[in-house]
This record gives sequence, structure tokens and C-alpha cells, in this order.
Amino acid sequence: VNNQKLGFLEEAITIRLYQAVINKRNLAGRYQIPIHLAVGHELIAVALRHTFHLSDSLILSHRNVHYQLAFEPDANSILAELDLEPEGISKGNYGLMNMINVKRRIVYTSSILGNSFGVACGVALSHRDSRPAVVWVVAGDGAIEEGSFSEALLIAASMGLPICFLIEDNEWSLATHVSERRVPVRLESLCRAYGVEFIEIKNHVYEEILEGMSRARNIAESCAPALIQVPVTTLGGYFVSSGDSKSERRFVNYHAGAIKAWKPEDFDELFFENDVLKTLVKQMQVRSDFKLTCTKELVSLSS
Amino acid sequence: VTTYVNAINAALLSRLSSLQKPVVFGQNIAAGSRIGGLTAGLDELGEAQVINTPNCENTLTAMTFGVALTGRPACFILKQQDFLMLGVDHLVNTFNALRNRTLEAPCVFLMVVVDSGWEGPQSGMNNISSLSDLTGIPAYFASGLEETPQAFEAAFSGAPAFLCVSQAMFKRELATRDDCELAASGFGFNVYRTKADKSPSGTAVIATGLSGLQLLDKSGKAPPEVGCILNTFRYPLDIQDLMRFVPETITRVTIITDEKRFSHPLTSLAKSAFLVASRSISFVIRKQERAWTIPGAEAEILSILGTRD
Repeated sequence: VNNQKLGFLEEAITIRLYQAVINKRNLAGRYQIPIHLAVGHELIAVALRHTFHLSDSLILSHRNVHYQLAFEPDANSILAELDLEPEGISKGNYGLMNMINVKRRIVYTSSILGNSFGVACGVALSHRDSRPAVVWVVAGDGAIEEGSFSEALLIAASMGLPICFLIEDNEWSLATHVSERRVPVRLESLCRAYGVEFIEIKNHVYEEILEGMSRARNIAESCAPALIQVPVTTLGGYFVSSGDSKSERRFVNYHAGAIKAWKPEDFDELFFENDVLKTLVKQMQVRSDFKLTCTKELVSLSS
Repeated sequence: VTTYVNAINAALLSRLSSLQKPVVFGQNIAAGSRIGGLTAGLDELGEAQVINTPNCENTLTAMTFGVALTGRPACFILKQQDFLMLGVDHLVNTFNALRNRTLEAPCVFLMVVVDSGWEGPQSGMNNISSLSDLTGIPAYFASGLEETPQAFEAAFSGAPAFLCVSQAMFKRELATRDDCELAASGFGFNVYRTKADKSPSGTAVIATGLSGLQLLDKSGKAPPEVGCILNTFRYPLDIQDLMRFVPETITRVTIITDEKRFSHPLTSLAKSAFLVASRSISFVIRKQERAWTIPGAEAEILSILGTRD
């Protein structure tokens, strides 16, 4: 069990590592396209990869890099896509925010908030009679504010679709905290209203996420939609000026650009304060050769 | 002689029965009047998955792409084209995200165009050419007895397509005028001779959208000076291809439309025709008798185009 858990952690750290590389390249001005990282979201992607069946489909949003890195063993093809190279996973045609990987069953990705719910319903409708295929659609707490979210819940429940709505709840939309922009949305009540099974992950703990996803998948497999809400702290520590006073600074989930303060040179610098991965690294014995490989890869790919 | 709704219903059933496991959905398509008979018999098609849906046009538009993405033919049927505007995000953004991929399965948005003319605020959007330009999705029109099966066949050929039928003509008997004969076909249009004379003179009418239905209907009233009719069933059109079919003896071209406003694409079409023409032709854009339009638009278009005799 410990070895398996360690393996999951190493997968998550590898995703973090490549995000660090992307961030450094972004800081160096390498990219022509917008970059959205998912630092702090890695465990969710790893858990989904281990819940996902080969017949399933995955539909993603603009913040998708953690899933791309979790599902595609060849990280270089992801990096090449960001350079818009023909060797990229989507042949350089999609960049990051619309990146697809049909071979790994990532069939559609949209940079438009709330756009992918309906497309996911269509894919699920087509697969409804070919069980046990399940469609996973990933979005954040910002996307659930779009009207398309309510429509999709209604359609999914009405048509009995094999679909899992995976909501990463980091409470931020650009520079605005959820409390600044809207009333709290009680997803449990909303789901109950539409007859959609609601699964709340209370803590960002790998086992809990994995167990919740497994439950959600079982429900969806029997042609009933499920929604799983995962709390997540997006890290980055990127602060910008706000308001009239230039001295007033506030936390932003680095949607506005790269994480300027994050230029890790070795394994330990991959992590932040209050970082779930940092806590796990402390708790578990990460192999020293893995650490060394990470540092080498970090230096090699960043140069 | 058949009614228009019977003709489009037959074309729909014929297309769907030729496809493998199509998914067809929309409101009331398998209930009640079945959209005035348009979708009658759908639920008896063996392989088709036919679904009466809730009123969620945004998601239904997205689902059309989602189903087609998996390789299954998809058809979303709307009883009024205005409601498709609720799905514009998908018609523009989702289609844009899919452009680099080949959607091999048909992906059809079949809509009833409210062209009866007097709905006013109930129906503000039948500028299909504008919608087509905005989205990059071609539109096909069931604009006549010959054109209806052609439009359905083309729309269900694979790539995403709008497929438009006329509400105004639903119950009308459809028969080609006695004095019309199909002379030739181009890409997305048919050419009719309206006089026995093989070298027609006078005016050539280019009918866009669904307006050809009025001209080719038995009870329609084409002006006596009309020498030939080019009835289109596709947008966009290749104007050079179209003009090749205007006989040399024709001295005047009239472009008619059923669109509620003179849209930019239509103006462009007329302007292109004007530029492409190598002989003396004057152009008039004539709005359909009862169509709504923006006051002054006609004069503005004429001032843009000018005339050349």
C-alpha cells in the first residue's frame, strides 16, 4: 500500500516538475499562447488517471495541464504543443487551453468557461448504450456560474447520461474570490433539485479523492449522472497591485501570467508553503534517486 | 403535387434511414403534431435514437457537436430558428475548436425559418447568411421541390451544417410552375428557364435563402420579364460559378432574398456579382413582399452598388 501511495505521490510531483519547467519557460518569454498552470491540483489528476477506464472519455477546461501531464507519458509532446510545434500532442494546432489528446481519450477541451458541459453531454448520450463508458467533464467553481452548467445537469439527469461532473473548487476566478462575486452556491442542493448524485470531498487527501471518484464512476456507469466537488488550494503566491493604491497588493491565482517568484533549481524548491505535496513529501520517504532525477530534469529542461 | 411539409418530411426520413444509428433530438419531435408534420414518422425509424428534449438550446447545440464527435450522426431539430441563437457559443467557439479535426459524421442543425413575415418581435433572426458567415458553418435551404432533397443530402453529407426549411410554405402545395423547366445545376443551385425560348432575355433572378419557394411554387408570381431563375440552396455561394449560368442574352439581374434585413453577406454577394459581370448588367435587390427590413437599407445598398447599364 505504501509503495502504491508513494507511486501516486511521485506521479503528482512529476506533474509539478513539468509545470515548473513550463513556468520558467513562460517567464523567459518563450510562449506565444496563454499559459494556465494547475499548481496544487496534481493529486486530482493522478486520482482520475487511476479511476479512468480505457473506454471512458475526458473533457477538459482551460486549466487542464495537470490532466494532460497525468494522462500522457510523453511529457515532451505536451511541451512541444505549447511551442506550437508539429511534434506537439495536438500537432501544434491547439496550444494549451484547447489541448486534446484523442489517443488518451481526452476528446475535447475548451477555453470557454462552461462551454464543455454540453459537449460532454453529447458524448455521453452517444455512449449511453455502450456501457460501461463514462464521460468525465472537468470544470472549476467559476464555470458553474455559467447558465450552461444548470442546463447540463438537467439534460444529464433527464436523459440518464453516464457522466461525472468533476468540479475543482479553488474559490477563485481570476483575481476575484468567490465571496466577492456571488452568493455561495450549495451544489448539494442544486444536484438534489435535478436528481444528480452529489459527492463532496471534504479534504484534499488522495485516498478521499480516489474513493469519491470511484463512487462517482460507479453511479455514472449505471447511466445516472454524478457530481464530485473537490476542494483545492491553487498555489502560486503571485501578487499584483490592486485598487487605487499601488502599495495595496493581493493574492491572485496567477491567471494574470507566470508565477514570477517561482524559479525552482532543485527538488525542494518545487513546493510551496501550505502545499499538500510538501506535506506528503515530509510524511513519506521519497526515494533519493527520484529526487535526483527530478532535479536533473528540472535543470536540463529549463536551460 | 405534394405539400411542402410532406416533401421535407420525406427528405428527412430518407436521409436518416440511410445513416447508421443517428441521434435525433429536439422539442416535440416525437410528440403532438411533430412540429406540424415535419418530424412525423421519426419514432418509427428502426436505428435512430429519437429524443424529445427539455428546453435547453445551448446544451442541445453543444450536444449535436458532442454526438458527432464520437462518430455518430447527430441532428438537432428546432421549431424556430431564433432559439438556435441560445447556442451561439457552440456554433462559434465549439465549432472553432473542432475545425482542425475531421467530423466524419453528419452534424445537422435543422431549423424552421420563421419567414411568414409578420411575427415581428417574435422572430428577429432569419439572416441565415449572417449566421453562416459568423460561424463558418454552411447553410442549406429546402428552397423548392428539386432543391429539398438536394439540400438534405448535402447537409447530411458529413461536416456541420445548417438546414433551413420555410414555415410560411409548410401547408402549401408544391409543384414546379408550368412555364419553368430545369435547365442546369451548379454547386448549390439550380437554373430554370422560364420561357420556351432557349436564349432567354430580360431579367435573371437569383433567389437566395428560401425565397425561391415563392417563385417556383405553382401559385407564385414571377414578373413577366423574368427570363431565368437561379434558385440557390446553399450559402455561401460561389458567385463566379453562379454568374457562368446567367445567359449572355440576359441584361439585368435581380437578387431576391427572404432575409429580414439586408445583411452584409448578401450585399457582398450582389457587389461581387456586379464586379464579376463582364457585360452590362444592372442590379436591384428586391425585398420580398412582406419581409421586414431596416428602413432605408435598400436605398443604402443601391448606393453602394450603383447601377451600370
